[in-house]
Amino acid sequence: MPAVVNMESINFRYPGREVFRNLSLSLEEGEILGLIGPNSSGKTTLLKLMDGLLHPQQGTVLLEGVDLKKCSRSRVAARIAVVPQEMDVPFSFTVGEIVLMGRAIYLGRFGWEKKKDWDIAREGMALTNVLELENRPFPELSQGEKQRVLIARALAQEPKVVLLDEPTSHLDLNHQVEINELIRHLNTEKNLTVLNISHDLNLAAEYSHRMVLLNRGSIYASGTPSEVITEENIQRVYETTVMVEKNPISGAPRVTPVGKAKVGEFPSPKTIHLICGEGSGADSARRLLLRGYRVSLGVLNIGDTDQRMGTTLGLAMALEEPFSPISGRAYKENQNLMEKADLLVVERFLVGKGNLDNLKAAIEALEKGKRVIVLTNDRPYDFTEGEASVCYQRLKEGGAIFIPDHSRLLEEVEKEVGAG
Amino acid sequence: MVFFLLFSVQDSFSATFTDEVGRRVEWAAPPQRIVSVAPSVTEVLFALGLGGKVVGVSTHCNYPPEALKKEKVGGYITPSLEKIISLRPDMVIGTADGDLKSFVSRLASFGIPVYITNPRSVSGVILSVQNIGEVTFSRSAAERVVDSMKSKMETVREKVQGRPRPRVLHVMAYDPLISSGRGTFVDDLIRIAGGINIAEGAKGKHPRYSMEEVIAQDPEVIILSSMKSKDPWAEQRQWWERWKEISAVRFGRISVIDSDLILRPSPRIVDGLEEMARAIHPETFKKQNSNSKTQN
Amino acid sequence: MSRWTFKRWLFWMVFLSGCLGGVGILAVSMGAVSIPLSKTWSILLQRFFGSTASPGWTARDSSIILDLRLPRVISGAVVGAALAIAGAVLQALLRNPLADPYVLGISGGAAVGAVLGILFGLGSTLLGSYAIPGAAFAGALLTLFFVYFIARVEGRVPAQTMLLAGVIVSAFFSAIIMFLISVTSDERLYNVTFWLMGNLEYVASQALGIIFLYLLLGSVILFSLAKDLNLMALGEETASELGVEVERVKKIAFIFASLITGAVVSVSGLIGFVGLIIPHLVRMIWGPDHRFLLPASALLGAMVLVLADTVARTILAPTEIPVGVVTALGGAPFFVYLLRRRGIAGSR
Repeated sequence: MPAVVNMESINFRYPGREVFRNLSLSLEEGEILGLIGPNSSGKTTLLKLMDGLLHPQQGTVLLEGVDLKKCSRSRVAARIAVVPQEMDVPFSFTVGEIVLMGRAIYLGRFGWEKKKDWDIAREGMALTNVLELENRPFPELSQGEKQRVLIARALAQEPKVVLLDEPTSHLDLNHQVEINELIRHLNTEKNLTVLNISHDLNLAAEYSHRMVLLNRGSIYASGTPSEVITEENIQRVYETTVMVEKNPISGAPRVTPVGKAKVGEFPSPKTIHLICGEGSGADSARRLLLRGYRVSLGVLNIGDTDQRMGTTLGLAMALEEPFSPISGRAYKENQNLMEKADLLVVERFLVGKGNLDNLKAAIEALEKGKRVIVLTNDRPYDFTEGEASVCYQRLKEGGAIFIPDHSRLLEEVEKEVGAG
Repeated sequence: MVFFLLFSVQDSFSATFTDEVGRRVEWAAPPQRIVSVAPSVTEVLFALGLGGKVVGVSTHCNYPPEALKKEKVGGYITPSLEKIISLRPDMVIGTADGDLKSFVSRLASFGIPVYITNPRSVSGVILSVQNIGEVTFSRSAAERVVDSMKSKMETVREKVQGRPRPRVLHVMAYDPLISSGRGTFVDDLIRIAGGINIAEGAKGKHPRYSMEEVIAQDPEVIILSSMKSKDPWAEQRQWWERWKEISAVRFGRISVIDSDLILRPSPRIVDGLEEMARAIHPETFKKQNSNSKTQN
Repeated sequence: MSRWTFKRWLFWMVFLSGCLGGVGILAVSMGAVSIPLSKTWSILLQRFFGSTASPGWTARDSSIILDLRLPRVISGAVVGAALAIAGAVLQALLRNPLADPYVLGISGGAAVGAVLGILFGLGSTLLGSYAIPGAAFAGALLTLFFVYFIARVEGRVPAQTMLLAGVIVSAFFSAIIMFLISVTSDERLYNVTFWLMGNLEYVASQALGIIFLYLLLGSVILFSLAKDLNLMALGEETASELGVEVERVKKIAFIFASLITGAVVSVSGLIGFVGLIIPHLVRMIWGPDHRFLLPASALLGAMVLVLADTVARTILAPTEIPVGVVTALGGAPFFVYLLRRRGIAGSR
């Protein structure tokens, strides 16, 4: 695909502050490029350079092969539309008038809008769901409504490229999804090229073809969302620990911050062993770690969400091959961990033949005198033709403490083993 | 105009007078060093032969020519106290314009007596001359000047007696157009000279006139005088000639009179009166005078 | 959608022009001398359309109507229109509802020019002399260049910098005028004060012709920028994103708004409030679209100033109040009223 916008070896500085040095970036036709990075990494500046609002001191920005500096503003506006973060208007134009302003370049010097202009404007407003606000004064709208109006205005320009500066930051979740879906739709139907600056890593990862991670004025990483959004990259650039996993539906990377829980900081902590899987252990792990307990996990299949978390947090775990039932070795490891632990927590997860042994291990431990807390499992969890239910029954009879949810977990734990 | 003069001789030669604003002034000897802070007063002093005793004059004092050589003490509304004091006068004479009270009290605190005149009409001017004569111990000189003034006035009065009174407009300034109303010398002069001042019913001493009103009131004689320039006719001619429906313009009855003659309460005001009468009733004054121009 | 179609625009333009005509005739018929409306009408008809029936008026009446009042009313219309347009344009460019035509210091420069002219005895406006208006206009032009070059940064003219430069220059010129007033002798003082207060009485017909041409030229150019001004009201960046050559529009708009301001100030002195209030009034009623705002402001500004001038010269007849006093005394309370009712941004 040819590049629509090509930035070559850009040097740019504001008076007193250098922003970019030798930066090159291209925007390919028909792609959705997600631009992410911390604040003041230069994202908005990059957008302005791309639109010709700013000119680099060195290097060139080419729009369809032509140097932006040489292009007239109307020529640029016919090809590139910008959706800014916000717009402050001291005069009360109506929504319709604001959107119509996107048609300005097509109107001629003394231009009066023609029917065609109104139609196009209305079409944009319908797509962004602001049509019923047509006659409201713009300053009176909510942030989210304003944002959608601005997108409609950009669409009215009939551009080839749309540059969006955090377009969904003020929107409710449903609108966030709506707008992103709209962008994707326009991209596929009309071959609209999109640059999307976003704070929301997950949404960006979800909807971008390609991503660029900007840090302090240079490109830290560039590539597919999975290539760019890695735990390492995020850790380095955002200085925060996260867990990156695959969104099970789309396959896009999904970021979960795990906070700054420091493990192993507290002297002679008690250890709690979690029997979990499928992410069922995340809640407990977090609470317990924050309280200062040590946590171990088992048995988990490699690739399981809880395993990933455990790896990230450096927890002791009993692991099994992916998709394999619990082997003897894994079982033994689990037993070891359980022995070292002061308390067991059986989380709520689906039980099949492969992980039934986890429950059995819990029963064993209980019989050996370990204290066990069990999360009541009322979902249809049993894929073992009744064996699992029997296990739960035995846990109950054995004196395990059943709790309905995590809210009293810490209380119970403290009761049983003392503070962390 | 009320004034009265008290002359009392005390042990040393000292005299007490009441000036024209009702203040009591006193000095110990006939004044030898006089400062005048008004052009009219300067003229009077010189006319009384006291020119030699004048040690300071205002910046506007321009008559007689000898006055120009005297030390200047500032304008007549805000004269310079410092300058006056440095000249060590034993008398200061001024008029009742400007910020009077503080000026007078400051001078008094330096022990300098101030005599203030306040003439409001032509007769008032004559009276002022007499008064100044009194306080400077030049009575006889004053009598001579006063007699001459009175006779000139009478001459004019006789000449215009019984004649129909034309409507007169005095243009003191243009841009904006300002005339002279009741209470000014010009108003008095016009009346004595046998005319009717169309501005006498207007509000204030110096009413502003719009051209519309001038046209409506249709003066038969227009008198131009200007403090700004010596030849207002040359400047204003183009303007006035547009308005042929004004009688004064139609019949060429526009005259220029030197503002010093008619705006200043000095002995020459009777000359101004003559000029005025000549302009208003030209048929009674055959003689042409270089001071006056009647335009056709 | 947009409130404006061509038809609607045309209707209002014709309507407002008609109102202006009506106000003009009314104003011409009023004055210190009472002349009935019918006579006024006949005189005007005769003048512009050839003779009608036998004249029932005197030469005096016709002189007053045609030579005194008519030029004055036309002056009022021209000055009012110019100030209102300039005010609207500057409010858009500076994105500041408090802007008026004098905010860039143009009036200060014109005033200094005029005051110097008066003090050097350059002749008077009463007499149709071009000297004082010429000096004032020269002052205005110089100020324009001055402010422009102070505010220029790397080929751009940021609106806020221009505003600041204008304010500073204004203050500087005010100081100069105060200085001149303090050292001037008393007679000329009155002329200076009179000029500064603003008045329409002595605008000479020839000067009026030239001023009108300036207004015409300036208006046409500014009207052609109406669409761009709409976009600039959203912010310079946004306007640029939408295709406006922002720097070019700014330069042209500043220059021509200042030119027409300088032109009228040089003949009429400083008449305030018109340039500030009229655009707001129009916005409050018809909205902020400059395609309507500019010509409507011109027509409404003309009407309002003619009315104000008529009030100024008739209400305390035969004494005349300076027209700037009427605009301020009338404008300020009216503006407060509008503010409380509807708010500046003109939310409807």
